[in-house]
Amino acid sequence: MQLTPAEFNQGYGLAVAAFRTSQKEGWAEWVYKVNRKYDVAKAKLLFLYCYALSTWDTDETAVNYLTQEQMAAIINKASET
Amino acid sequence: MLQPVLLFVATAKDATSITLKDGTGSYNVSTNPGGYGTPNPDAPAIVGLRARWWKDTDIYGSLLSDSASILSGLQGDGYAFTTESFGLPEGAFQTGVHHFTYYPFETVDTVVTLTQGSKVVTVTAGTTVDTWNVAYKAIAALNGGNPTGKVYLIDRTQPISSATFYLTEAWAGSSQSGVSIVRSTEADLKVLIYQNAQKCLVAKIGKMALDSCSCDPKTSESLVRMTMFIFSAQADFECNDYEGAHNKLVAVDIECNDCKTQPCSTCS
Repeated sequence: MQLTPAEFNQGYGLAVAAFRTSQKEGWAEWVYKVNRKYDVAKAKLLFLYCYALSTWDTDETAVNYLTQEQMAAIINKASET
Repeated sequence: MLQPVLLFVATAKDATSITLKDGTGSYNVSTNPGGYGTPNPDAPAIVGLRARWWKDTDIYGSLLSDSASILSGLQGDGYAFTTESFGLPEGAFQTGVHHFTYYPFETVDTVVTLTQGSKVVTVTAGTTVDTWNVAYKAIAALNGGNPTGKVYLIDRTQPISSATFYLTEAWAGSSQSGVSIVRSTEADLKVLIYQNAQKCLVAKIGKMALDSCSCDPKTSESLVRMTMFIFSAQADFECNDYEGAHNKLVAVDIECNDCKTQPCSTCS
C-alpha cells in the first residue's frame, strides 16, 4: 500500500488534473468522455476519488480530511480504476 | 453618507474561523463617496457584528468590541472570527449559509436614559435620534467610553421623537441615566460554510477506498449525489440563491452523518 514519494506525487498530480478537467468541462460531459473508456460506475468512482484528492493540501501544517493511508489507498484505487 | 462594506476573506478548512475584513475604504468624492473620512465619519473605534444562520430570525451570536486586534484586523488583511468571538463555545461554524450584519459605530453626542426590561429610550441631551438619517440602524451604549452590553437595533416601525425612540428588544442591562450612546449604519454579508460537509464526504470516500468496499453502487451513488450537491450549493450561492445553497448543504450534512450512508457495513 505504501507508495514512494514519486508515485504519490505522480498519482496526486494526475488525479487533481483529471478532477479540474471535470470541473471545467462539466460533470455530464466528463462522464460521457470517461464513459467511452470506462463504464458509468467506474467513472463515478473515479470522480469521487479525484474529488477527494483535490481537497488535499500539501502544506504540512494544513488541515486535511484524508489520512496519508487513505490518500495512498485512493491513488491506488484510482489507478486501478 | 457612509456606506460600510464587509468582505469575506476566507474560512478555515475545519470551519473553526471565518476571516472578514472591512472593505469600506477611504472617502473619495468620485470613486468612493461612501468611504471613511471627511465628510463621512472616520474608520470606527467600536464595531459590532451580529450573526444569523440563514432564514433564522434570531441571531446566534453577537459581538460588540473596541479590541485593537479586531479593529486593526478588520481594517487590514482581515480578522479571523471564531465561534468564541460571538460568545459561543469553541467549535466549528455550522454548515450552511451564515448572514452577518456589520456595524462600524460612529461617535455621536447623544445622552439617554435606559430602563431595564424596556424598549423605550429617553433622550436627555445632545443630538436627537429623529434627526438621524434612516440609514442609522443601531446603537451601542458606552460605559466610561467603552462599549457595554451588545448591539441594539433602532425600531423604526415605532414613532421617533426628539424625546424618545424604541429599540427592537428590551434593554437587558441595569437601569441608568446619563448614558452616552453611539450610532451605526450597517452592512450585510452572506458566507457559505461547506467545509464540514466536505470533510464528512471526503472522509467517507477515503474510508471506502481504504476498506476496499467500493463495489456497492448505492454507496457511490449517494456519495456522488452529495458531491454534486456541494458543487451545486456553491453555484447557487454565487448566483445569490442563498436559500437553495443553504438547503443543499444542510441536506448533505444530514445525509453524510446518517449511518445508512456509511460506505461500509459499520459506522465509525
